[in-house]
Amino acid sequence: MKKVLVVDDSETIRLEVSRTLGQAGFTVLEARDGAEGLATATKNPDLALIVLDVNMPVMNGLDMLERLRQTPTAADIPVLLMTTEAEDRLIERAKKAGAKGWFIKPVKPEMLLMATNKLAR
Amino acid sequence: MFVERLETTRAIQDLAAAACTELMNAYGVRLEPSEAGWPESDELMFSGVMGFVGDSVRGTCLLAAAQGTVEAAAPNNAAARDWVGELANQLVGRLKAKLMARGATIALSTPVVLRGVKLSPLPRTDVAPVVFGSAAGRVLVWLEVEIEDDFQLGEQRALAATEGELLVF
Repeated sequence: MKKVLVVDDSETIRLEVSRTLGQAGFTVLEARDGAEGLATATKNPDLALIVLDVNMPVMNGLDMLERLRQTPTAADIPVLLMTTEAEDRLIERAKKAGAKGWFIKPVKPEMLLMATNKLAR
Repeated sequence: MFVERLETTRAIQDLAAAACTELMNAYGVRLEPSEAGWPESDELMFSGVMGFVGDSVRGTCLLAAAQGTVEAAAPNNAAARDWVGELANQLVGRLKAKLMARGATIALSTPVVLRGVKLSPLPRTDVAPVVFGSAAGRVLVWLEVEIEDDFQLGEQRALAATEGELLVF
């Protein structure tokens, strides 16, 4: 069963992503900020995808993405950003760090599932 | 030097009000402008507050709504505390997009949340918060904004991506 990690400071968003992907057969892990997300990803190098918010306390999503790429065991995990942000500079930063996609909230469950099926390894 | 200019605050608050209408509509709550003001009441209110800052504009945005309104806009089983914070985050995200389309870029803080009864806004300026009504209850959007003296909102241009869109790299 493929594992997906959702990193978002909103519990509601984490639950929604878990429900949508869980019903489709994915195992979903959760983290509340980039620091927790980085720790969880490092312990789970077999993750098929990380769904990652940008604006979060402690460590934001782009900082987590860049640190993830410097972590040998987890550097290849595909990452989909899911955020309210639509700023070109931030999108370019994610692209440069090797993100696979950028979703602008709100995201419909069927769109999230489609993107996950497309981007998960 | 940053200054307050009422017409700019009013213009940016109008953008935030439009963003709020779009956001709540996306979550199934249709807002209508209200002339009723924001009288104190014993109804439990939730409020999300976010700061934003850019080279030429900075400020604070507050979204307040009755508990029933927050819950009506929330996915199943969401906690009102969590969801009003996420709504404030998405509201200021939409405001950021509207400002970017007019040439101004801001960075966002993370939201703080409060709840209570008999809450009233106490604006620093003469720009009154925008109040909406809905079948699920009332909503208030309140901005206080400072700008660089020569700041002007530019002509609207199209952005590369908007809400609900997926960019695949």
